[in-house]
Amino acid sequence: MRAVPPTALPVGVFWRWVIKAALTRRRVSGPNRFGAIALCLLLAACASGARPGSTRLTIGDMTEIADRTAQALAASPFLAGRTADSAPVVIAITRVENNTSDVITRSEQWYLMQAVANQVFDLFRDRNVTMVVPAERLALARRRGAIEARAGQTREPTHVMTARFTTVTRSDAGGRRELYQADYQITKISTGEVVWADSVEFTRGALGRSYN
Amino acid sequence: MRARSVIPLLASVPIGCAHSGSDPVLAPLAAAGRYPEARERLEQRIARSRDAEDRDYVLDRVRLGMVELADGQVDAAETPFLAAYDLLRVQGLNDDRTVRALVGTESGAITWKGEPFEQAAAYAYFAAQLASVSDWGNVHAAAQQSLFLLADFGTGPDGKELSYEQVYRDNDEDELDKGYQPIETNFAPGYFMAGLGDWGRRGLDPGFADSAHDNFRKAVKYAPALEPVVDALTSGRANTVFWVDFGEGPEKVREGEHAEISRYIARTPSDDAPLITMVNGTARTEVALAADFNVYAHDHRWRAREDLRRAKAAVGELLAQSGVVVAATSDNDTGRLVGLGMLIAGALTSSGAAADIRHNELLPQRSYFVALDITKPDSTVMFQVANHPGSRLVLPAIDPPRAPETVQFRYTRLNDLPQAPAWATSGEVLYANDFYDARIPGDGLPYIMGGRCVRTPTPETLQRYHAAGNLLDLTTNDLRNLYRDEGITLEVGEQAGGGARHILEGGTSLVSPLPGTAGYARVFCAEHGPYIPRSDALRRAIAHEQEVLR
Repeated sequence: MRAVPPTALPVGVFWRWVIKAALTRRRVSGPNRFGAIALCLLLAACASGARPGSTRLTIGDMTEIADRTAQALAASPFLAGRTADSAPVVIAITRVENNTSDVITRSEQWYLMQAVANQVFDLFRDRNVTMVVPAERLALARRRGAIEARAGQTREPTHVMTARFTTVTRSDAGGRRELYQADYQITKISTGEVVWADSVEFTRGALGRSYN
Repeated sequence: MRARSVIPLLASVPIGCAHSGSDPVLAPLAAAGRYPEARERLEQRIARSRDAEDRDYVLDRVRLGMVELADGQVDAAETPFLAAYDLLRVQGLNDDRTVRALVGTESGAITWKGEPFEQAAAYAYFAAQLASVSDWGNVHAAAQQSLFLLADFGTGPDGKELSYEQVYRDNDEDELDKGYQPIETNFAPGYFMAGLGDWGRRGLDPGFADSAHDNFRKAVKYAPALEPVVDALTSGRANTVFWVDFGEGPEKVREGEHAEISRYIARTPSDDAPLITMVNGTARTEVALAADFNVYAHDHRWRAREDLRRAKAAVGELLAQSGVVVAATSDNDTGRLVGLGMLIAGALTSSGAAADIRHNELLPQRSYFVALDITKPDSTVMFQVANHPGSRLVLPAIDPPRAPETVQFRYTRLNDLPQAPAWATSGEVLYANDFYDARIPGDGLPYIMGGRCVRTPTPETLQRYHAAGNLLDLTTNDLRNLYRDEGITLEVGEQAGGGARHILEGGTSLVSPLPGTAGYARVFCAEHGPYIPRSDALRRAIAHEQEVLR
């Protein structure tokens, strides 16, 4: 579980107190008070303030998810029993299915799969497992004319690697917290058997009003 | 000593940066469908505001995203929308800037996130961009962000809903933070788009269909005009959803003694005129409007920050008045100097009390949602707001959804002109492009070589040229290199992820706008002048081709 980022709340409360003090005439009774208020205003104007927050996935989150998932896959029984002489396995990867309450762009969805695949590439090769260009990307490349129409026709994947990201959201006037869950799995296409699955969970939090 | 140390410090307080977020030219350009010019104006602004610390960072990018979307450049729209989204999603971004706003100007201190209705709209238009590329999971996610709770201060003794101004005037300022009930939003476009995101991906999980129905029910609750749209979509009688915008959204202006209050005034008046739709010249239907941004702008639940503006004026006056009192009553030089400092600071603060009137002037006055059943390739759809003949827009080359999709989405912005331009009403595709399969006289040769084809140079495209007896000596790569020699970009990735003017309109991009948009009609349904080669390579290729044909 990850810690919630530093909050802007205490600083915001202080500034609100400053404004209230400035607006409450009975508290302003002499030059010293004026000077104090003016100084507060000046300091407030110059201060950098606390860091605001967002619960959207960061690059660091994505890297960590990919690292943890790749480690789990490398240590999985699915690969443990395989050697270079095992029957070939051809895995097509798809992009992440985003079922969260926040945007995960298509490029991020591909990154979250590709980053896992890259980390196990050598291990896969040693265990006679190959990965092939995803069908969706192949079709896109064909439409753009980037590859010949016949390219990739013999890829014949035996397995497919998928991932689904979901969130549970809690929010109130003070902020928002998201519990992310990333579920990865490899499925044998011919039988539908799930041959490997792993899940990563973590939270992201942010304080402050969403519209401010 | 004390006075000498305070007064210079006060004088050093920044009054505020001279940000001029509004651009009065943008809305008229959009009303005339002149999106390339609007894009170029916004790109010039963005070139000066690349830093996320820029106070207009979000405003500029939301507006650019809307321009790209209306122009049919749906992939190019993602970059600015995503950049704006990232900052909009930062909670409490302006929490620590309240006091800086008090001693400067609000627009110089506050990062523009817009009034709540402008924020909700920004999320919904991002959802529209994502729906245009069938990215359904993200459609739901982006639209969901627009459905934040609203603040309802209840009713006054007269039974009418209280406004922010009334709450501020009649109560302690803490009431603005505590004296309201959070209530469900009534932003129907947000519910509808969230539902559409679920509906588009219902094949992945039956649960998404249930979630879609829930969101659609809310959409209909707050915009009953959406009921037939939802019925047609969920019953399978429609496979294509259009979000159709019309008119110029409300303008934000200053009012009050210190211009400390902002109000919205209508530019395009509200009315109940329906949207007339036709598919392939038949099936005339009328659709009622689903959202009126004039209404949102006048609804206190969709406004915020009046408290800050009032406080600015109040603090400015307080400091000035108190400074006068201190300077007049003090019996020593130090006291008089402190009073003088307060007087100056008060005057500066009052001058900075002017309300922030930055607003998204590209918002429309109204939005319609239309569900159509497109069963034939190259179908033609016509839209026109009743009693507004200048809004007529004929959209050719619309295909049914491409498998495995069962539903597709288009965003269309109608012109708001007295008379519709020829390109808007012709409906005739004059140039072969990536989204139009029918033959066009002259499509056997690229436009850059004197023909009428602006398709992406793929092996299939080259086969068409070969079949016409042209470019027999060229390979696909040769042709792509000719485009590159001309400085013509073939995809959005080559344009730094953004949009660019199409070569038919004198630009450098071959990226086709999406059918069903005003941009597609303007680019492909109007006659354009011949292409003027820029490179020796193209000139040689043209000369060679003419020699071969001779």
